Amino acid sequence: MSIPTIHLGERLQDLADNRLSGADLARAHSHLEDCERCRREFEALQRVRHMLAPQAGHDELPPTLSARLSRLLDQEDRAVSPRWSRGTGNRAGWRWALAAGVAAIFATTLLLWRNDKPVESDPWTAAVAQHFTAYRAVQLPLAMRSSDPKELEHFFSEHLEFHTRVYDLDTMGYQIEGGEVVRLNGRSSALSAYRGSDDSRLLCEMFQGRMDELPTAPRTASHNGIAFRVYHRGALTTVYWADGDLICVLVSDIDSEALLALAFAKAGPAA
Amino acid sequence: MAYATARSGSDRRARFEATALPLMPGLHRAAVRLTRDPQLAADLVQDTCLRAYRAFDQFTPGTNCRAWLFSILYSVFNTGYRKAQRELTGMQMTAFEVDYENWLGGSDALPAAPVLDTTVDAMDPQVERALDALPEAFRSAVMLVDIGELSYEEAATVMGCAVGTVRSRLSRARRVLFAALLPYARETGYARLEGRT
Repeated sequence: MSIPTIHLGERLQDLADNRLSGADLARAHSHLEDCERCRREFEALQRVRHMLAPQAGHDELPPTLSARLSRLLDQEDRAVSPRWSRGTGNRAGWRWALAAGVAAIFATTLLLWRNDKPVESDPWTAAVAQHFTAYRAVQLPLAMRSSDPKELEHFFSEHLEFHTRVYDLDTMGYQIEGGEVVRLNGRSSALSAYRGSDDSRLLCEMFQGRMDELPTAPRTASHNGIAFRVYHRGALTTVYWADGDLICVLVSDIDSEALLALAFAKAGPAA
Repeated sequence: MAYATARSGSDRRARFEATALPLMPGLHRAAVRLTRDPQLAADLVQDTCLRAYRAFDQFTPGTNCRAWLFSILYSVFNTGYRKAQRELTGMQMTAFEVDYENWLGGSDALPAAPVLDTTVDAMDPQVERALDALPEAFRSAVMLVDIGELSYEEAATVMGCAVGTVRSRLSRARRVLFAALLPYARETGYARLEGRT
């Protein structure tokens, strides 16, 4: 028996993932018979795959979940029918974004998370930043597209169990584009998206929570008796404050002082 | 106009039910694997389904719906469900790869697989922690291919990178996972003695 000096390398992985065929497959098997190192590596690879892969035999949805999904689609159809008639033109306009790949959200997310930690110390800002990055890249589908804050508030009232406001920032140079209900650390969050006259972007999210759930902020501020917390993540700034039992957060890559000024202007009781 | 809108909504629902709903069991399997909690998994699938339904008009018929759905599931999971954990640094990754090479060149038997709770297809907690500690680029490759059961090509589409990049990230991630889990496998007595000759 000869001892091979050239190992299979990445072809081992192709073998484990059933990506080899024909002569390549035969050669790989033949090599494994003679090479203990590759055999060990192949078994290790298989072991890792086994630990990760879903078990067979779970090919049906639980009946309760099937029923939930069916009800969910029914509810969505009922809630959404006026929205579709309003949004047809808009949808056509940004259809390409998703066609280009919701997947690209991953690319931007990967870059953001890889280059700019620490996710673990501030999951709130990490999630909000992810939303902003996706929105900025025109890859965050907005279920409701409207420039009318009241219309958007109505949309949120149909989809959320808590009441949320939608700020009108028009006089400050930001027109609302629409909104979506997103998940933020396991909670539902009302996301409102704005576009500036200089083509800058801004997101506002509101979700149920308490300020003491947030990590210690590198900067705090106070205005009209309201406490603000300011965090930075790469080029992004997030400003949080409490509004009753909700937490409001603004996120943008505009100048942090300008963002804080917007928060100062809008926080507090509704006019 | 009202009729046209209703008709269009009905068509959309029918297309979604024909194209996306049959793929939900696969998403559910991955969701259980990711969340380790049947209730959370159901919530995750529900959130994914809703997000996909709302965006379904942007899905291009004929393209890979499974990859599209999984990209949404993974995004929703990362945003709202994943427990954030400190990620390995580049040096730590390299150290694990050295451990792996040492194991490969040594004579230790291959540890046996952890015994899983078969009542629910949940990932072993130690495996989950090791997976969570991988840097995002590597974790996503493992999640898409090993847990989502996507092909390299599908994963490359989702990740927006080349197929070769998926392969190399996957390779490195698996090596690191193996090395990271070796002490746990040894401690818990999983060493498979019959592997020794």
